[in-house]
Parts: sequence; structure tokens; C-alpha cells
Amino acid sequence: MTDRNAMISADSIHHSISAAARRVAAAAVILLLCTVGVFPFYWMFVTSIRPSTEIFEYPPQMLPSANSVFSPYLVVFQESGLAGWIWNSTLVSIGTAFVASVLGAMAAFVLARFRFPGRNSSIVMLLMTQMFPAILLALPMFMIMLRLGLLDSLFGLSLAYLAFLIPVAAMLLKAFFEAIPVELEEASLIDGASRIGTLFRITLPLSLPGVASTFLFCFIISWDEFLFARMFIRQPENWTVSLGLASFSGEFVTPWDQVMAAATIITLPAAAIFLVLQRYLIRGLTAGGIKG
Amino acid sequence: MLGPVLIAVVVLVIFPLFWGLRISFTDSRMIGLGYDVGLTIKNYRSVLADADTWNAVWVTIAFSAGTVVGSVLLGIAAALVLDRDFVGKSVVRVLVILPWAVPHVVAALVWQWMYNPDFGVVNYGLLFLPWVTEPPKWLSDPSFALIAIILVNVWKTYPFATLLLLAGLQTISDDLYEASEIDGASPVRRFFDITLPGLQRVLAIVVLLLLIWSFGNFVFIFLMTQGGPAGATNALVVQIYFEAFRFFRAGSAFSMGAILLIMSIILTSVYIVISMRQDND
Repeated sequence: MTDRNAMISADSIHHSISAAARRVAAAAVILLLCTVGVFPFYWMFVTSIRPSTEIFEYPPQMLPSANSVFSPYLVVFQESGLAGWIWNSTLVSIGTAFVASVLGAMAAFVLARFRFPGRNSSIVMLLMTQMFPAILLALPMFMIMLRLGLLDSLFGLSLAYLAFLIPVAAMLLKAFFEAIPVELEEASLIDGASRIGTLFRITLPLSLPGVASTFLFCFIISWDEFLFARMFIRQPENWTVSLGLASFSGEFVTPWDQVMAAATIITLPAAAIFLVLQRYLIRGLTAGGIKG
Repeated sequence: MLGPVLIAVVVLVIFPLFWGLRISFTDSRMIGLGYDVGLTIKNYRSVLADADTWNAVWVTIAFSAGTVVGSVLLGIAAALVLDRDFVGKSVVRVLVILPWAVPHVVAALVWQWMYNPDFGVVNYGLLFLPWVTEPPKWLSDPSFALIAIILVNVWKTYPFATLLLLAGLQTISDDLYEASEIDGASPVRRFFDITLPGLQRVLAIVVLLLLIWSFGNFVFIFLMTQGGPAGATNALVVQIYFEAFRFFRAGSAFSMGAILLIMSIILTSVYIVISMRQDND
């Protein structure tokens, strides 16, 4: 009897020790992950406010310099084309996100609501288009755009972006539409509304968060894109933020304070949108592949 | 209403792809408007006979496989931790997702700066480890450059793995865990007997998507090493880019593209079978 009691208490002590050990391990993992995730951002910002005389110093100072300056932020606006790059990227990103969301919504509505011959193959086609490396599309597009005279223009670049944004938007919105009860739409159709009318008056308003997050998602894909921009755009006045920022690297002595200042500015809108979107991301991602 | 999208996909995706495939059988140059109409297989013959091509295939596979291993391992660790309840969980979640939110070009430049062999913070940190006396010159050392870039890609992609795996964990019923706890199974046993099998499908999707994306990853390699040093990071994407825009040989660039296309189609078919099955459930 006593033996058995002893065993049980030993067991429960063992149990609570291992639970405590697990808690410590989990805390260590959390700490490590947060450090790994955040440090590069911290380092980007700390470098951006360091006086240029202190950047090439060894050992590197972990804390912000005592002589921290914000002048790199001014310099980068005055001496590089940053303002113009931001303007170009904003135009392209808003334009492509808008067109992709509208066309995507129409396709998604049909795919989410109707069974018809060719539905599955349409879905496969939309999935397929997102699943091969962008360069396979970029090269032939370059040659076609060259013949159409669309190279080195933001319009041509936007057309190229639509090639992968429209399928992304369609698949994302399909998932959102499928979550809306069909009965509401049926009522509207019975009342004599057209399918397009039903889409714009019933389905879209109800799935507003879905539509907004699709728009934002397309926005950051365009904001982030580099390969197509690098191939299609030549003149500095047409550069997007990716091109402008990349142009700093490869200079003889990279002005790291200015590069990091520009990088911080360019990251802010993308990071802000991501944080807004993060609740919706999983849903969209599991709904079908999406550009990473 | 499906019409405009299908037309857009045909005009913007399918037509260029087939145009490209046709170019791969010609002598066309990247620039200049004329293109050769004579069809030939000599691009394929010379590309397949070129050791650089096979090096590029190997680098592409190593880069993608390395990314998947790192990203999935970190992702599982992060997902298991985030599946528990603790104070400040929502903040930690945001911090874990953060690398995913940074634009690729920004990530490339920040890491390039951190890897700097003379002033970089990575080597400064490594020197605190007692067994490190001479840290590598990362991006300019042929035996470390690929690892360095894989690490950046892991940093950028593991939040994606984490989010999907976390969603997967939440679909595993708590009853299973309780039952096995009563049976006296150790946490390690529980992980291998319940958690991993439960994550099987999500894991398959994560692995495939990460592989496909890594095949096409251009920014990191192009900005950090340009395929160097000595071809150590010369993935197919980068090789194709230089063939097209440094040497302007469209024909052979496109035939290398065909190799990349075949590699992607194999993975994509598997992916589509899995996700359609899920869609019809």
C-alpha cells in the first residue's frame, strides 16, 4: 500500500518536473524565434540612424549610437529618386490590385456558385498559372512587350503583374464567397436581380473583408515584385521601390545608412498591410497556392 | 463572368508560355525584332551537354531542399509553441510572422549587410562562440555562400510554414491527446503517434509550395551573390536570366527554362491533386 502511494507521488512529481521543463523549453523557443525574427529589423533601423562615420566600425555597436541622426532619411529623399519610386510603385500596386480584384471577383463568384462542365479544369488552370517560376513567364513576355513597344512603361509592367495577380485574386475570393450562405443570393435572384447585380449588391458587400484583404494582398505582391521590374524597366524615372532599392547594392562603397533608411520606409506599408491581413492569410493560403 | 479571367489567363499566361517554348527551338536573340523561323534542337543539345546546366540544376535542388528542411523544422517548433496558451501570445505571433512581411529586396540588402565579412554583425556574434576562431566570409566563400542564402530564405519562409502548420495542429482533436495521456504515452511518443500523422496533409502542401517557390526564387541570389562565387549559388533562374540578358541568347535561355518548367510541372501536378482532393471533401 505505502509502496503504491510512494509510486504515485513519485510519478506526479516526475510529471510536474517534466511539465516545468517543457514550459522552460517553450519559453526558450519563443525567445529564440522572436530574436531571429526581429533582429534584422532592429539592425536595419539602428544602421539607418547611425552617423555615416560610425558605420564602418568594428566591433559593431549593438545599441543605437549616442550621436544618432535622422539625416539619412532626409538625404535619401533628396539625393535618390525615392519619392518617385514610391509614387510609381503606388500607381502600379493600386492599379493592378484593383483590376485583379474586380476580374477575380467575377470569376470567383461563378466558380463558387455554379457547377458546370469545365469548372474543374478552370480551377486547375488558375492554380497552374501560379505554380511555375515567374521567369518562365517573364522571358517570353519581355519579347512580346518589346514587339508591342510596351517595355520600359509602367502600363506594360502592370499588364505583366496581372498575369499572376488575377488567378491569385480569383482563388482567394472563391474561398471567401463559398463562406457566404447561398440563400441570400437566391432570394435576390428570385426578386429579379441579374447575376451581376446580385454579385455587386449582395455577395460583394457581404464579403467585404475578403475583398479588401484580396486587394491588399495583391497590393503587396506588386509592391514587392522585383524580377519583372528588373527585366522590363530601364529608365530611372520608371523605377519601382524594389528597383530603386536594389540599385544601391553594387555601388563601390554602399552608403548603408541611406540604404537602410530607404529600406525602412519601403518596408513600413508592406509590414503594416501584413499585420492587418494576418488573420485572413491562412484562409487564403489553404484555399489554393499563392505567391510567397 | 468567368470569360474575362479565362481570356486574361490565355493571353497573359498560356500564350507567352507556348511562344517561349517555340523560341527554345530557334536561334532567336533576346533583342532585335526579327526571329529565326528555322526549328532546331541544337539549343537543347548544347544546354544538356553543358556542365554549367547540371550545376545549376543541382544548386536549384540543394537550395530548395535546404529551404524546405530549415523552414519546416523551424515551422513545426514555432507552431507547437504557438499552439499553447501563454501570456503575450498574440504579440509573439506577430513577431514570428514579421519576416514574411518584409519585401524580398529589403531582406536581401539587410542580410547582405549583416553577412559583411569585415563589419557584419553575424560574424561578430559568431566570435562569441568558443569554438569559432575564424568565421567564414559567407557570401564570398564558395563553400558557405549557398548556405548563407538558404538561411535567408528559411528566415523569410518559415512564418508561412508556421501559420499553415498551426492551422493544421488546431484540426487535431484534443480527445486523441487526452486518450494517449491516460495511456501514459510520453510527449515524444504523442508527437510521433498523433501530431505528425495529423499534420501529414498540411505538411505535404507546405513542402510542395516551398519547393515550387524556391525553384523560382530570383531576388536573393541575384542581389546577394549574382550566382557566384565560382557558380556556387548559380541556380537555374539566375543562369537563365544571365543567358538572356548578358549574352542575349534567347534560344538557349528558353531551353533551360524548359528544364525548370519540367521540374515545376512534376511538383505542381502533385500539389494540384492534393489540393483538389481537399477542395472536394
